[in-house]
Amino acid sequence: MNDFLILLPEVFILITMVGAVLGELGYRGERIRVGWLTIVFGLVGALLQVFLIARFGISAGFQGSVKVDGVAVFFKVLAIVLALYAVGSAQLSDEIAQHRRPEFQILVLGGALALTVLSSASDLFLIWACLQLLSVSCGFLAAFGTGSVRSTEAAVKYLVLSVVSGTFLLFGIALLFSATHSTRLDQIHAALVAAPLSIQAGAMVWLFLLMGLSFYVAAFPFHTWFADALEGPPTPSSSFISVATRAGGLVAWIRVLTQVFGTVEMDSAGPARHWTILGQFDWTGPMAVLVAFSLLIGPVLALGQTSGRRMIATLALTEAGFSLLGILVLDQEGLSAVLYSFFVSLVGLMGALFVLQIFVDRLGSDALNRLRGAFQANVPESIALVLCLCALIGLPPMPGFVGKFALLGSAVDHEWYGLAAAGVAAIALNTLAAGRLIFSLMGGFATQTVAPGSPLVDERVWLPTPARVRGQRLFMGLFLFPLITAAIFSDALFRLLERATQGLMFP
Amino acid sequence: MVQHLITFMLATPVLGAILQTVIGGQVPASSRDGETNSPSADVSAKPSRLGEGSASWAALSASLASAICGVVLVASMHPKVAEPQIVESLPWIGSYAISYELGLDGLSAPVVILISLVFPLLIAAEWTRGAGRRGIHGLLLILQASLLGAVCAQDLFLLFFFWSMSALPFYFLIGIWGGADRESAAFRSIVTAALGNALFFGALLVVYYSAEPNTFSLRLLAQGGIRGAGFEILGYNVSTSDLAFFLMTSGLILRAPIWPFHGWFTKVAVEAPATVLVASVVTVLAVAPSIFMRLSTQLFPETLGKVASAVVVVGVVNLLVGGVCAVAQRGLRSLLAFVALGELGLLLMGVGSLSQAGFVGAVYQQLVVGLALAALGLLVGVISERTRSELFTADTESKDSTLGGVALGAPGAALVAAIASASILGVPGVGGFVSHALLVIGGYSFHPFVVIAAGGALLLGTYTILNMYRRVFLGQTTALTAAFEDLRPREKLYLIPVVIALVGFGVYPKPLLDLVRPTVLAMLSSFN
Repeated sequence: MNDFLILLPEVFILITMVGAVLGELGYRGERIRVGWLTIVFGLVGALLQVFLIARFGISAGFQGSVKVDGVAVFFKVLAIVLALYAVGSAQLSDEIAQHRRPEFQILVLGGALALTVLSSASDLFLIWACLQLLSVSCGFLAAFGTGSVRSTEAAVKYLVLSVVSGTFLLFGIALLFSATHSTRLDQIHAALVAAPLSIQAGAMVWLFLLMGLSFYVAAFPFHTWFADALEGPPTPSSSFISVATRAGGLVAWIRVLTQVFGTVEMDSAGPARHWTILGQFDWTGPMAVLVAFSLLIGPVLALGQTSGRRMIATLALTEAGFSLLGILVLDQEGLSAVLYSFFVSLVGLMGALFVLQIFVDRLGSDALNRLRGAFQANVPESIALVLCLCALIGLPPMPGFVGKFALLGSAVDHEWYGLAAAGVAAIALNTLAAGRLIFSLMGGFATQTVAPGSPLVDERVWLPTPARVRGQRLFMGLFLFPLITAAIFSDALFRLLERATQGLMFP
Repeated sequence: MVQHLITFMLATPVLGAILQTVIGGQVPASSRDGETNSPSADVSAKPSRLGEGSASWAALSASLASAICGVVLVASMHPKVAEPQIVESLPWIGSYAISYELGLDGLSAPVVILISLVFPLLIAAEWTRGAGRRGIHGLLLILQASLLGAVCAQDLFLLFFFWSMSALPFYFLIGIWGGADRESAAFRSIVTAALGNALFFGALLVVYYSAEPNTFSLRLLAQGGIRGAGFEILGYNVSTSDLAFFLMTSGLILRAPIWPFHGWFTKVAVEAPATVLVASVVTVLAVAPSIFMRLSTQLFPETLGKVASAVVVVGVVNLLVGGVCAVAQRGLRSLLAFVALGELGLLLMGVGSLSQAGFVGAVYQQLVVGLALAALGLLVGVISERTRSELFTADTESKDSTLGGVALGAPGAALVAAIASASILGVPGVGGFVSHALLVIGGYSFHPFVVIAAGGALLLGTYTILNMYRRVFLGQTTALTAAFEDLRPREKLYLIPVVIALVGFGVYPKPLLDLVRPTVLAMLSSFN
């Protein structure tokens, strides 16, 4: 297929971005600003382009540096939908002043552009470059809380860690290049099949790539930026940063592990469905340790949190462990479970953050003691928060439960019993932590006396206009709709994702 | 006629719970000026057009509609059929062979009757609650749906789905509307539930991946899905059935008051509102044992056969601990908690005996003791509401807060308490007699010593309950009970159905026993 056609969604996003910048430069104080609407149309156009190129099946361009397969389409859709959500939530948030929203939206477009290119990148250098562009966008977004020390701290942490991890990643790429004389994944794969790396060389490459990519998925021990990035910046920023960075990291992990450290196992009985370790270095043991720590670090930290956003951040850390667990099992079923669980937990995470954003707007804080009793005056918001948290953690009746079951099931199927037990323990501990947050919302019923005409929540700062409330609730529905759909049609979604991962079988 | 009635039975409480969030709420009366925050803005709220009363009626209607479905479903069952009846099956997640499969059999029918009878009464009992009435009604409705789902599920995944869903409502119900130390009680409840669910989830994984082909269907698993399967851990051969049974049983033990893991339950009994205490009793005394009986006999018969004696021993220990601890209690709530502990022990004794009488008695026990404890629990709620006390034995510090002589002012309440107590004691003519007799017969077939131990514990229980009754209802009137008012019409309305049911199930148990027996015989067939 024509190289240009393969990157048509990215071209759409780029044009939209340039248009938005020009529009901002030409702004002369007009009362009505429609820049965000232009961005929404641009993103929707890009989304349609993704669906269009998906119809052509697996296709490659730019001498094989860009490959559009099912996984790429999944992450491209995720990136664009994420950008749409970020643009929408910024419009409905008071945390970002009206005059700064275009700036925010342009940065979001930059992040979305990086993520869409990264989704189909099949060249290690391109992957690295996309991750750096993503880091720059997200770093600026992390610093978006003007005058906020926490926001500045989050941005500094994010940027410093991303530079460090980017350097490690580059070291790993350099080592691989010296061994295979290529940065293209398919050529690296072919070279490594012909001449596998020694144990020492394999271990060094794996270690450098691990240290480089762990930051992006917020896996242990590179998870320290995550909670700060969710707590410090305005909620629309933190929502985008947390999801985009992890999506970028995950797609990079999937590409690298399945092509550099794994090879498709041919099966005479049927189509290939799993990978085996490529090379002499068995990286699954150390990876399992990383997965176990990543699974358990979040819930342990979450138990002691007193801020809503920080608690949600620590709850979401577990997902990094689950994602890596799904990759570790090295089979198609595990990978499709990773994509399903990732999708559900990210929608849950964004939904939960959006509801907290509403509470921050209305109450002025997301501290657990300030949220006390907020349920009574914000019933739909509180219920949405409970459902989003259930999706994030993996509790019934939300689809996260199905995703977690599929991931843990894959672990049991491949005899990673310890990791399955760690995963179950993580869900149980996360339930306790989330219970504290929900309890804060609902607590205080019995002690409150509500007289007609008196405020329902004593520390309320102001009430939003009915139109604003309607808008926020409608937007909340946009988070719940995919979750409920994913729960009801989970089978269809699983099959779709299984087809999407089929592309990885043809390196 | 009854097609899709099970789904309707589960869906109506959920619908009722959703209605609680949209009916009778308060809407913002003022608006904010522009985009700026205005701390001085008028933050008043006005009630919505549909008041709290409408929400309560919606809750009661939903619960009653579900209850009627439950009763109709049980009434339409054929008595001589052992297999699940009125089955609804729909593929859900085909990739993992998970289906939405529900059905009723002899094991689930009495529990469905119990839940259908009790939950509308709990909604009615919370009719006059002030702040948060919609919340408590909504959570009770979710609980009703999830417990019914757990009992009727014919797919292991679905069963776990509903069972684990029932944990969170308890946490909120106890933590928000409980007594002075409610947060501690709620925390204990959620910690044990989370741990229990985690272990159960582990069992789910082991069963699914050991079955050939991988399935969650209880019907297929019962046909020998995991029998004989095993794997190696650290050089030891572990039977899949043993491991999954251990995980499942541990998970259920943590959510039922089994000694020595009963601490959370006694705390909940003291701190929870009376209605939540009753819901909790229904869960631990009926739903949890029902799940245990179903899964252990259908999925792990080999393991159950091996550990049956241990189940009897656990039952007898529970019975003795319940009886001895009940003697030392001074409050009605903690007394009820230990009585429930003892009755659960008796039930386990019957299950472990692996005899027809023991099993049928255990199933019947779930219904009749559940009803009796529900009546006593609701009565405790009435007494606590009027006297702000639940103590029936005085010490130097609480001399002025003890109950006594309630029967003089409230003969109706005394009568209800007498019938419910009689059922717990196993007096002929009320439901408890039938179940106790069957359980003792079943226990005797296992070992006569078991009956002696059970008899001793039951005697202790009899002494305790009669002592409580004497002090609360027949003793001298105290300052607290001098003006004690008898049952009000609303209270009669929700207590009388329980009393009628208790007498009905005691006088004429045949229809229900006929429903239970074929299923029990089929379950026990693999042990003969």
